[in-house]
Amino acid sequence: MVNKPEATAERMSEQLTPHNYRAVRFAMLVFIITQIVPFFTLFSAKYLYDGSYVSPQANQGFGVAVSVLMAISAIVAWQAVRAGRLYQDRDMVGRRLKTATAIGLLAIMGEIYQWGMRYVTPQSRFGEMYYMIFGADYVYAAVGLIMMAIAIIRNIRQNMAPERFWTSDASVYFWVYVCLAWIASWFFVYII
Amino acid sequence: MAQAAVTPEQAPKKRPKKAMMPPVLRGALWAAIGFLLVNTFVIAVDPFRGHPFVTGPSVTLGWVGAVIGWLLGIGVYDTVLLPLMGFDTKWVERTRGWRRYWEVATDHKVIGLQYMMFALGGFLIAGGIAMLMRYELMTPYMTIFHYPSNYLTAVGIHGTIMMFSFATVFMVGGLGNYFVPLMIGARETVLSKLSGIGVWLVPAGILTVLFSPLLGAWTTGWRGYQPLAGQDPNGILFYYLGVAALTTSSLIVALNLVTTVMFRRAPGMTWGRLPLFVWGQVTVNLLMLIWFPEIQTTFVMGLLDHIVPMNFFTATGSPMTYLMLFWLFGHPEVYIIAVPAFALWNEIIPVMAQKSLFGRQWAVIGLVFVMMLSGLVWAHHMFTNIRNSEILPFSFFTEMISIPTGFAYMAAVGTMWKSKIRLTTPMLWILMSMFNFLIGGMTGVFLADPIVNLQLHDTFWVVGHFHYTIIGSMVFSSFGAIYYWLPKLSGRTFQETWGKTLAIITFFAFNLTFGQFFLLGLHGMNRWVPAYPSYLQPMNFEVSIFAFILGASFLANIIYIGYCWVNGEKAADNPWSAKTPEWFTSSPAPRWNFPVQPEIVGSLYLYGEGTKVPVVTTAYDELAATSRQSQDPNYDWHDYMPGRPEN
Repeated sequence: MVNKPEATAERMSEQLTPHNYRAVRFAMLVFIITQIVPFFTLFSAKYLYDGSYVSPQANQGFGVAVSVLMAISAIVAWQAVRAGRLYQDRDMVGRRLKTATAIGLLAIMGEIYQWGMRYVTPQSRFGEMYYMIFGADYVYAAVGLIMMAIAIIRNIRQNMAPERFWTSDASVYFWVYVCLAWIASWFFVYII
Repeated sequence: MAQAAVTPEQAPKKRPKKAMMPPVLRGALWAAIGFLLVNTFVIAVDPFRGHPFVTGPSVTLGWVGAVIGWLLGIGVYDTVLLPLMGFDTKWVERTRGWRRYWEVATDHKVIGLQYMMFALGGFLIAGGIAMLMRYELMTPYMTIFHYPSNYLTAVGIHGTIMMFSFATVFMVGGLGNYFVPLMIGARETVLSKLSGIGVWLVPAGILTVLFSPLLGAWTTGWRGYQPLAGQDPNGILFYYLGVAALTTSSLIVALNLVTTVMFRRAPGMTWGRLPLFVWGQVTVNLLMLIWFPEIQTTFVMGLLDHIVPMNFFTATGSPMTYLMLFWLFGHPEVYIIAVPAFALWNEIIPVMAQKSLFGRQWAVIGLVFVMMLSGLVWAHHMFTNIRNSEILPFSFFTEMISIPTGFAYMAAVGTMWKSKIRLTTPMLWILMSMFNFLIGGMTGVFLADPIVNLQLHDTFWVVGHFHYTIIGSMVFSSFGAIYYWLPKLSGRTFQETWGKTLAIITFFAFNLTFGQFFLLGLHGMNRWVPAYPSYLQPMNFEVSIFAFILGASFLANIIYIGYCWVNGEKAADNPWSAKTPEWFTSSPAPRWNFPVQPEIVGSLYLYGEGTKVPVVTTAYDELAATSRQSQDPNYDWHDYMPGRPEN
């Protein structure tokens, strides 16, 4: 167990007031909504270029497995938010953040494996959009993982009072968006 | 107003004695390191590109490393990264002196001035390039540009920097950041740190686009047209990347201002009382939140088309798709630039007329409907490329959008009607802006007509049209705004004689330059050409002369404003007798804007007998001014409302 230091007076000065908490949560949600636009654009391009074609080379099993793992990761991550809000339990928040990140990493590794196997050739319309859409997923997942890592480090180092759970909340909000984007990508690339 | 008492615990923190490297230098150093590290890594893992050190993929990823290094070096490492992860930081924000403008700040006024400073830098750079273009066009053969691709690269850099780092940035990032919080009675923005970081993407973006020729010429103009871009060397990569940095910065501004308007309005500042300029900002911020992610995605696809390569927009892909995706963003972008100008007209005119704003609700409705319709007109940029059956609805909506635009004119003209208007320098600029945009709008109606459009497309008529709409609305209004708010920004004022003289010279130079673009277009002068038939030379020659005068007059205005900023006479607190909240605090405004939280008790646009002062401070806040809240950076009046259980 890591010895968690107490918050210094300097750190305490950055406390969020309830109204500010609502404001930053609103900003985060607006930001996430704006980030639906890139996927809307990409899915439209996929439909335009390739209709509803799905390459038989795309490994459906991996697609389902990755999506299920992402869904589980999102649920576990959301439990971290609930642990902060309902129980204000710093340890519980930390455990759930780590579990969600680990499951998410596993899902990403699965998709990397599929890329590595080159089941789908990039020299096709389907392949171009496949790599483009999941490439976008990777970029967002990388940002999401960095945010989750920061939340975990902060959880270890800082005594999180109730209004200080926002850092982990924000990371989870974004991570849930990453998971949902991944599942939507699977749906559009593999199913329709 | 009550004076705030400062207790020892509130005393500003002192900066550490050990001198830190100036943030800009550290940012440049870390950017260079970031570029070298990532570029070298990519070359190491991908050595098959045939170039010894810099390849398309390596320079793209290297640029990402450079921007991350730049942001960390400029202050993100100390101000965000360390505290975010729970580490102590020795960073203390400067509250005075010129150095605070050269590092990450959280004061929205400092950030606003940083945006204005960088945007003006972009304006001067892109304006200088425009002078080179006009010098080239003084003769029908090539002179200073040796190849057409060099000229086209200059056109592209001019357009890109003007559109993405000046037109979009100055009024929204600059004036918006500075004045929106003041105008809604807020003491700070919500996402102040993020905003302080975002501004530093602007110089990164400008320099990226400016130095794009290092990687080769690009011939697409500010639109990055595909599949043309597919034939260009790697210079086009820095176009995509530079625009990505600039649009990300503007996206942060939009997010911050929308959230601030939602959550930081003073008590009594209802949506019905919101200042016109703030309404304009909110509407364009929503447009930016919708369309900037869309164009960023499109540019990423264009980038991958180039460096992987893919075939999204090439001849084997779908060439029209890029045009569609670009103009889906491109036309709202025009309104992102113009709508704050419409709002400014109706912000300044009632003040100068000292008359109640005519049809205020209609003015607001006009802004909102322009915003909504702007997403329905994009294909009028492609009338030469699409089927006749597809043209008609876009022609219809393009002509329809002139109706809500007309609401802005209606409110302005209605306010001026039978008023004793003060023809001050700001008012003169606003009237000129209205005239110029009227010309731009009317020539746009011609272009909305498909038959005329097919004749005028790709001629200087179109160039004249959009310079009238962009410079006519945004640049003239911005100068009006700067003269109007100069007393607030600097605490100093200017001489009307000088201000008006410079305004009039600029107005005539502008009209004599761009007015003749319409004639050039009708005579057959094409866009995108450094060489042209010799019968067009006389008019091109004189247009260039007027363009040089125009460039000099813009420069003279900037120099004069700078001079007055430092050496002008001391200004009165509210020299125009305006009613919006920014005038109810000292000039320049203090760190937390108002000594105590103001309250809005009446309309900001009602003038005449019997109208009351709309901005007051509540008794509760007068009391609070003696306590910690008055100087608390986290102060929020919502949390100190009487009756809350914790109070």
